[in-house]
Amino acid sequence: MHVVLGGVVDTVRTLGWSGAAGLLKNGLVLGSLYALIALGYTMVYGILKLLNFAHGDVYMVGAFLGYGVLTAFGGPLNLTLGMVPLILLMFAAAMGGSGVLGVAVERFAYRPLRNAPRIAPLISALGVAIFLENSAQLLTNGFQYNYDSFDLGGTNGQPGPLIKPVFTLFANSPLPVSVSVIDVLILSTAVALMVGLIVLVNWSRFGKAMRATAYDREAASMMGIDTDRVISKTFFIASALAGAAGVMVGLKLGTTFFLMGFVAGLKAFTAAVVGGIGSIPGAVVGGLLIGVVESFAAGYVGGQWSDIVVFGLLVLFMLVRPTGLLGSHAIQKV
Amino acid sequence: MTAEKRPLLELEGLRKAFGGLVVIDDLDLVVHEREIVSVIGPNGAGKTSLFNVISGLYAPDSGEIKLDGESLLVIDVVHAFGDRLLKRLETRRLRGVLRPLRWVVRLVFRFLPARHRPLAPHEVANRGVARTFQTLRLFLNMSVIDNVMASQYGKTKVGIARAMLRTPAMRREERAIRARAEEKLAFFGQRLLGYRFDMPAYSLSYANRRRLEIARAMATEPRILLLDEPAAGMNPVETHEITELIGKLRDEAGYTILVIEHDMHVVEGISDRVVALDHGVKIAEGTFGEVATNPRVVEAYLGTKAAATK
Amino acid sequence: MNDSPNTPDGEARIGVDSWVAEAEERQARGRGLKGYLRIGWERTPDPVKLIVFLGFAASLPFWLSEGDLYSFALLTMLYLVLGLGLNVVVGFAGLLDLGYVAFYGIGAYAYAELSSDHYGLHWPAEVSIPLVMIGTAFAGLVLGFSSRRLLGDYLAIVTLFFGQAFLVFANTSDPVIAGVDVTGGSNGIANIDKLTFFGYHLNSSKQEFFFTLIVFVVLLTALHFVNQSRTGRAWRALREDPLAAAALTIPVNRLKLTAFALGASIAGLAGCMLAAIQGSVVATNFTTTVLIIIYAVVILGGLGSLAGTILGAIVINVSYYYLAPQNDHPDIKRWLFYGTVLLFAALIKPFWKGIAVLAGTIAFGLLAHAVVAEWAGRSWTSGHPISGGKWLADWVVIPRVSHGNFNNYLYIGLVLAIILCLSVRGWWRLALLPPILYLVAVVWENVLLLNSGITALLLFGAMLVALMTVRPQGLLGTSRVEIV
Repeated sequence: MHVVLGGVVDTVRTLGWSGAAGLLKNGLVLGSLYALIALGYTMVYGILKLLNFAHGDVYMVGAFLGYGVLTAFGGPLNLTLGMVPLILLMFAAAMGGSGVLGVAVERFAYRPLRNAPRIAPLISALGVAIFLENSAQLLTNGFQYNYDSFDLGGTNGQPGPLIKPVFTLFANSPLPVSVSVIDVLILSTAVALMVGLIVLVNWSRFGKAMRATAYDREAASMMGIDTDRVISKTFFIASALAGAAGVMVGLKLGTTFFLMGFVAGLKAFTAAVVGGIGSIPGAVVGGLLIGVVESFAAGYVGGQWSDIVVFGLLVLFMLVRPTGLLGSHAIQKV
Repeated sequence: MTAEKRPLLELEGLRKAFGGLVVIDDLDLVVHEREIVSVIGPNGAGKTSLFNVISGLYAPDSGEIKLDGESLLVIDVVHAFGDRLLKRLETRRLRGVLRPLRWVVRLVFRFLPARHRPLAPHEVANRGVARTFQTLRLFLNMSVIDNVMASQYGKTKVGIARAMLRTPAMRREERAIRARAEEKLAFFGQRLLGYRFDMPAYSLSYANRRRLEIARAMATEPRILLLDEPAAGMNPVETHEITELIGKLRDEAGYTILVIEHDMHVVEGISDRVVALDHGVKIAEGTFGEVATNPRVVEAYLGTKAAATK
Repeated sequence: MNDSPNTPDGEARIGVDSWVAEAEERQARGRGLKGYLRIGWERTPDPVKLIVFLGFAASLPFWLSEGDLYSFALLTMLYLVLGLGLNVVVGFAGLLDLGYVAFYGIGAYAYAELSSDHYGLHWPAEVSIPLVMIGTAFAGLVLGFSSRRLLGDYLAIVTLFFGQAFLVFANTSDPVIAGVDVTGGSNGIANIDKLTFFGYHLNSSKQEFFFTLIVFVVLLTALHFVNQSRTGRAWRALREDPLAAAALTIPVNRLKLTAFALGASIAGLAGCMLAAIQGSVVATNFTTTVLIIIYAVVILGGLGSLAGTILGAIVINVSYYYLAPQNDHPDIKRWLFYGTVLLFAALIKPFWKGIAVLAGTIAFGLLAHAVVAEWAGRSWTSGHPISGGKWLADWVVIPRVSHGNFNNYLYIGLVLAIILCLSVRGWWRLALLPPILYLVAVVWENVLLLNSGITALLLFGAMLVALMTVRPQGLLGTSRVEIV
């Protein structure tokens, strides 16, 4: 499974500065994807104190929805639509579809358990994750599907514009680092989404309701906030971000697979924990950190070990700073 | 009336702040053996925080807590090691070059920053501090007797291995645990005896849950009982009963009691001494009469200060 | 206490206040057959239940074939032992340990390394099994300690990740990739010794079955005793309210670690048994799928209930085995499936509504079949159910040839229909049930039956969600009340 995400980077060992820069670039791209997924974890955890195991699988569904749109319009080689509207449509479908899925999951698997013991929604979340994963396996026959973004928008066997380099660093070294259109697209989209989210949470009416609900659900509902609605919307946003990450990963790596959500979800949750769970900037920082660490681990230690390195980082944080980089100590009320 | 008695719980210069909010400020308090001391004060005066600090749930920023002369704050591992080393060095006769070693060790540990942390809550409880909670925290899904049996954990020894084999020692201990639990429940007379002991705790009424919480605290064999608003939410008859009960706890069972209470009738009925807190500061101490007429206490409760500053 | 109201002297009276009476009423047993069953179950002493179960289990080797004994009885026993261990961690102490399967794996690999050609060690089981159990307990302590400050949700993610890291390790530590051969990589370790105790070899499935049965009984009894001891009480207390427990002399963290380590060592024991019984170990024995199955076992029966674990293990293992892809008995799968649907219909109260739903389903099916045959053409209805099940051909729509993504749309449609059904109430829901049940049958015959391995996991996942919503205490667990 590490092939799916760890495969962003080629295994390079003694590569000097250009190699390191390349790893850094790949790490940032990968990390911004993790950050998008981690945001969903952190938002849901912040508002419900629930570890949403199904979130990684929502991301997987997003990737498949994007692929569905792509094939519905003829596939990468015979596009019946311009490339830009197509990509927009892919994002719209993936974000909308994943969002609706997230809301449905919340409605049917978590809402009935609002007042149940803590362990019940966790187990329910585990059940949803299994259900989504196996449904996807059933519907996709367990095959890997390829976005072929290499060809997207290209003509006559020429590669499409997505992988064209925007600029190249270390052009003279044996390992030049080229930043392609897709890298720029991913980074800019991720940044735009994150900024939008931060604005939404901090400066909008809904954001205020959301923070109030996260702080004390009961009191918020007594103040006239429809907390169920707020939670639904939170799930929609969180899942939509994951759906966007799904399309991005499809465009960047090409492959979608029904199991891709599990490990990505684990790492994104690690990112949320490392950044400080419940903190939105924390999720971004944590995501980027995990992406870069994984990228360097894959480059210098070997791609198959990157999962274990990230796990080590998680354990380290648990021991040294369990509240994460940007998390704060909550005072336990007695 | 009990001033000549031995001090049991001593707080010296205790301070606790959450960020910029000081909840306990330089508090000195002594509770003597077999004394009932009430802590009063308006909401947010730091009463429950005080209990939380004493019982080890919060770490104090500075100050000392002593139970029967022994500190409830332990020095952290490095200091503990240093102390042990020094003790060993001082009890042994050192010769020649080894003699300055004592000096070196003393010097090194003198200059390390002193770091105190509270004992873990369960260890504080093991030393003899038991408490109840303002918002009841019973093990609701356990039976009445299990609640009281569970809190004897620290006083009993048989481990997993012997429990698996159900050895005679284990069975003997189980019987003793049960007997002690029944004894504690019997203290409440027919109020708790009236129930079947194997009923779940959630089936108890509110007043009886408060009683069960006290019984559960008693089962830890404490020296001092910290009761956090034992009469909250009770009707007048029950309040009267709880007043009598607290007296009985001291007179018959011999506990020392520190109690937080808002109901002034209860405070008047039980207290040997009353301590009034406001914003974490002790503003008055003395008999109920003295404290109740103290202008600062009246001010704290009625807010004349706010009126005066207008 | 002379002025206590309502309490005549000298008599311990039940019902001092109305709460008690209400509590008794709340606990009133169900009426009818269900109520009798429940009373009967509750009044039967535990040893009697155990003896009945043992009698049944001990008879299995005498009427099951060697193959069936392996796949039903032996594997069920293995799941039982695993379930008991998980029950300690999740049920008794309330810790969500998602790395449980990794300890199972560590145990299996450790046994394999100590008793096979892998390192040339052939230690007898009486040496290697205790060693492995101590080792896995220690591994559990280390992992539990690493997340000790935040036992809770964080424990879940750390342990889940630990399970994943273990899989990666098991798959990659072979001579080619890692340069060191610890686990044999993706090939695993083969030719593991059979269990040997003091020179006595357990060679046949029958002997192994009796061995696992003995292990199970000993373990069950020991855990039952622990649960009734002060440790068990303390676990229950910290599960209810860790803070109050800590304030009442209970060392919360130490007890959690104890539970974690005890669970891990039992998983290690089960791992040894797996390695010896299977004769080989590969990483795919310890995937998340296996974890889910173990969780399904414990949760279906009821967290914290030892009898529930037994029931769960039997139901889950037998259904998983029958639904396994390599098992070629579509008719048995069918009986299992339609039986579950019937059971579901029987749960609808009052019973005549259930009967109406069933009749409606049959009628709807006949109608739908006729309509499709009339309008869509014969190619849509003339398919044959896979081997057997001829009686279904005129009721369930089975296309003869595949029609694009028809099957996928069917499946998604079913999920949407179920969601719709859950969103409406009363008569609407009842009216929606027949078409949904029919759709279930269509999806089953066209999609699920062909991918029954996936179906099993799908159903387990759905079951976890449904069970948490409807009956979080599982089939035999006691319900927990959350008030205040």
